[in-house]
Amino acid sequence: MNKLLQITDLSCAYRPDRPILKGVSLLIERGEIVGLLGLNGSGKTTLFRCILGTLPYKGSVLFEGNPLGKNASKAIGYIPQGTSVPSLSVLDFVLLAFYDELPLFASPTKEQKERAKAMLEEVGIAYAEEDCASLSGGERQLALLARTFLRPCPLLVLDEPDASLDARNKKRVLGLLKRKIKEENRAALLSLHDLTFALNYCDRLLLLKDGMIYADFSPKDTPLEEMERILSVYGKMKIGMLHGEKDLFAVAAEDV
Amino acid sequence: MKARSFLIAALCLLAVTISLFVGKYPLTLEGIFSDPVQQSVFLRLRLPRTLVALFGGFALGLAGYVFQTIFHNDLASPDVVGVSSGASVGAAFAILFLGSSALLITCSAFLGAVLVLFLTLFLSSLQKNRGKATIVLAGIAVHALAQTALTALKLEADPERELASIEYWLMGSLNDVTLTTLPSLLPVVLLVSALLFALYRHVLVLTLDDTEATLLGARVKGTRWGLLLLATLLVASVISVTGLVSFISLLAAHVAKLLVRRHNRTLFLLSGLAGGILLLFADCLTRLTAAELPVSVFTSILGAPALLVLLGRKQHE
Repeated sequence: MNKLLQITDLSCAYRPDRPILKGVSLLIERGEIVGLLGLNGSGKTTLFRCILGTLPYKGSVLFEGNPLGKNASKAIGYIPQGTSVPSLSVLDFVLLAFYDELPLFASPTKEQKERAKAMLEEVGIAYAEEDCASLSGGERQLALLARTFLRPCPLLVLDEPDASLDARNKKRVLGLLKRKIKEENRAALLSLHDLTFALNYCDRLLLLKDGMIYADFSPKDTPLEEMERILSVYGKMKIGMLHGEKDLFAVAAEDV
Repeated sequence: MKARSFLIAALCLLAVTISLFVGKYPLTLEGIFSDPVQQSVFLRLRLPRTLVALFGGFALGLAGYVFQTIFHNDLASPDVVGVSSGASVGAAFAILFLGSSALLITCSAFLGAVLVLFLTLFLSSLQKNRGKATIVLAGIAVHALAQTALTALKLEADPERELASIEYWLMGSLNDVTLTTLPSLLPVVLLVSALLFALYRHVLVLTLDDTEATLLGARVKGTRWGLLLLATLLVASVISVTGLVSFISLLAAHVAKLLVRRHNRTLFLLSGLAGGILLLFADCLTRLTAAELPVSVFTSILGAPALLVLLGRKQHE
C-alpha cells in the first residue's frame, strides 16, 4: 500500500451557516497525479488550505497514516495560486528550498548552490542571477517547481498551476511535473481549469461540487459519455479521442 | 555593479571627510597633528560626531530596510509604524523620571519602541483580511497615541529645566555628541548589524507570503518578531543618543534600491550606507547654519522631495 494522503469526512465552513466543504473523502497514493476540478468558488482552495493546516476543519487528514500537525512543511510542497514572487535573484529564491535544513546563522552551502543550479537547468531556466520578479508567468511556475522539487516532501499541492499560462507554458509546467513525480515516486494534487490538460496529464480526476467529491475517475478507464455527463457541470461538452502516436483527449464545448 | 559600489564608497568617504572638517571651529590637516587645541576638538568632538552620524544613519537605514522588507510595504519604516515615536516617549520618560544615565535612556527608549511595535501589530492583526496598507494605518494610529503620551509627559515636566531638555532632545541633534557618547551607540550598532547580516537568510524567507514561508519550514511569527526586535533595538539606540531623526529610515532603502533592485546582502548593506551618508550630509548642513538647526530639519528638507521623486519614478515604471 502506498497511501500517502487520506482524507476522511472533512468539513469546513468560514461561517457556521455557510459550509464550503461538507464531508470530503479522498485518497492519494504515491506516483499519482490527481487533478481537482470544480467551478470557481466550489472550495478547491479551501480544501488545499485544510490540507496545509491553515484553516480549521472537522474530519481527519492523515499523511502516511499520521495526522500532519506541525510537520506539514516536511510532508507537503505547496505552490500557491497567482505566483506573485518577491524581488530576489532566481537562485536565492530557489535556495529557500533549503531554509529549514540550515542552522540559524548559516548560509546555503556550496553543494546546495550546485544542486539548485542543476535543478534550474533541469526545469529549463538559464538565468540564475536574474530577478525573479522579472520572469514571465510560465518561468515563475518553473522556478517554483524547481524550489519545490529540491525539498524532500512526498506530496506536492499546486493551486491552479495553469492559471494565466499559454498552451506552450502549460505543457512545459505540467510535463515537467508529470515526469518528476513519476521519476521520484512522489504524488501531486493540483487544481486545474483547463479540461483538456486535466484529462491528458492527470492519472485521476476529482470533481468538487456542492462541497463534496462528486466524481472520482481515471480518464483512461472511463467511457467518454460517462465523462461528458460528469463534467457537464461546466456546460454541455463533447469529449473525443485523437488517435496518433499517443492517444489524446480532446474537449469541445457543445453550445458554442 | 562594481562602478556603483565604488561610487557609494567614494561618496561615503567624501561625506566623512567633509564632516570631519566642517564646523564652527576651523580645523586644518596640519593643525590636527601640531596644535593641541585643534587636536582636542578633532578627537573629542568632530571625530565622535562624525562616527555617530555615520553609524547612527547606518543603523536607521538598516532598520528601515528590515521593516519595509518584512512588512512587504515600502512605507512601513520605523518612523511610519510609530516605533520611532515610541522610542521618543520611552526616552522622554527616562529623562523625566529615571535620571539621565545613557544606558537607562537607551533601555527605556527600546521598551517604548517595543511597546509601540506590539500595539501596532496587535491593531493590524484585528483586521481580518489585512492587506499591505493595514500595518501603515495601524502605525499612524499608534503614532498619534505616542504623541499624546509625549504631550502628557511634557505637561508633567518642570518647565524651567526638564521641558526644555525634552523639547531640545526631541528636535533631534548631534550637537551634544562627545567622546563619551560613543560607547553607548557603537557597540550596539555593530553587534546588531552583524547579527542581522548573519541572519539575512531569514529576512529573505519573509519576503514570501506566510503560508509559503511556513511550508518551507519557517516559523514565521517568531522569525518576524526576532528580526523586528533587532531592528527596533537599532532605532532605539540611535534615538536615545540623537533624539528624533526623521526620514532617514524611510528613505535609505529607497535610495539603495536605485543601485541594487533585488533583495540580497548588498542591498541590505547599501541601505545602511545610504542612511549613514544621508545623516552625515544633513549634519554637515546643520553645522553650517548659524543657530545649528536641528538635524531633522535637513533630513526632512532632503528627504521629502527625494521620496516624492522616488515614488514618482516607481509609478512611472
